[in-house]
Amino acid sequence: MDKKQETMLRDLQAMDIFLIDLGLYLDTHPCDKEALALYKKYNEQNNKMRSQYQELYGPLTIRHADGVDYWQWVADPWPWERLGG
Amino acid sequence: MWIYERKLQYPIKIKNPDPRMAKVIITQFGGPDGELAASLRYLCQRYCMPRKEVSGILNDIGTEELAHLEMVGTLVKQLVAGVPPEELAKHGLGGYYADHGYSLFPVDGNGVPFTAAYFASKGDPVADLVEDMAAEQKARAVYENLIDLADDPDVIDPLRWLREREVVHFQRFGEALRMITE
Repeated sequence: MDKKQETMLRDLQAMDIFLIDLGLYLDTHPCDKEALALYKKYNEQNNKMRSQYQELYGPLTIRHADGVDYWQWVADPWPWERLGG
Repeated sequence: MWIYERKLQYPIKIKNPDPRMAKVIITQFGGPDGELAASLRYLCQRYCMPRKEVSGILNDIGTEELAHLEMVGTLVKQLVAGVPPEELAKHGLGGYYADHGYSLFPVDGNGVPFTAAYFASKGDPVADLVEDMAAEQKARAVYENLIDLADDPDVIDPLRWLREREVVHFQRFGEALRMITE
């Protein structure tokens, strides 16, 4: 994993945990309008970040995998195989 | 259903293998207060909750615990990477190596295999949620013990992060319990 990929992955992981945490909060506070608006805003930003990452470094989920000569999903090291996740 | 995401929930980057820490950290993979028990506990309990919000929190925390299981597995894998079998044996992992090689298998810090008896699913929302709150506190205590045993910042950092998640989950389960009892 090069420096740029690692930085992009860090940003993605940071955004992800923010959204996961906010999602859990919303499970028990489903009427919190401020949290609902935050979720919508940052989820959109997250989707953009994911697209940028996937364009450069391959699929994050199997739904985004493809390939002409080789199945891209199994082309790269798995998260537990590479330092930095 | 679930869809696998090809990344860890939090980065793990172990530069110095340490079989001594692998032997104790594996308890959070397959021990009584580990992530496998946590995930199965919540994913089993979610079927019998009187409120959709409470099923939701069990579903979503149960899912997050699977990501933590993957993190702990990665920690163990990286902590024993390149360590020869005789070195593993010196740190109490000889028996583990004989049965499992370098593969992951759910055991506690003493090598006792995982059992579903580590968790309960009562079909009684108050009993289940109180168990869940206790489970999060016990897992927090285990992470604190593991941090006490560790000296490498690369190991301590993800352990601290996992400890934080237990605190957040405890808070959410407390709110879920209040939704049911108030």
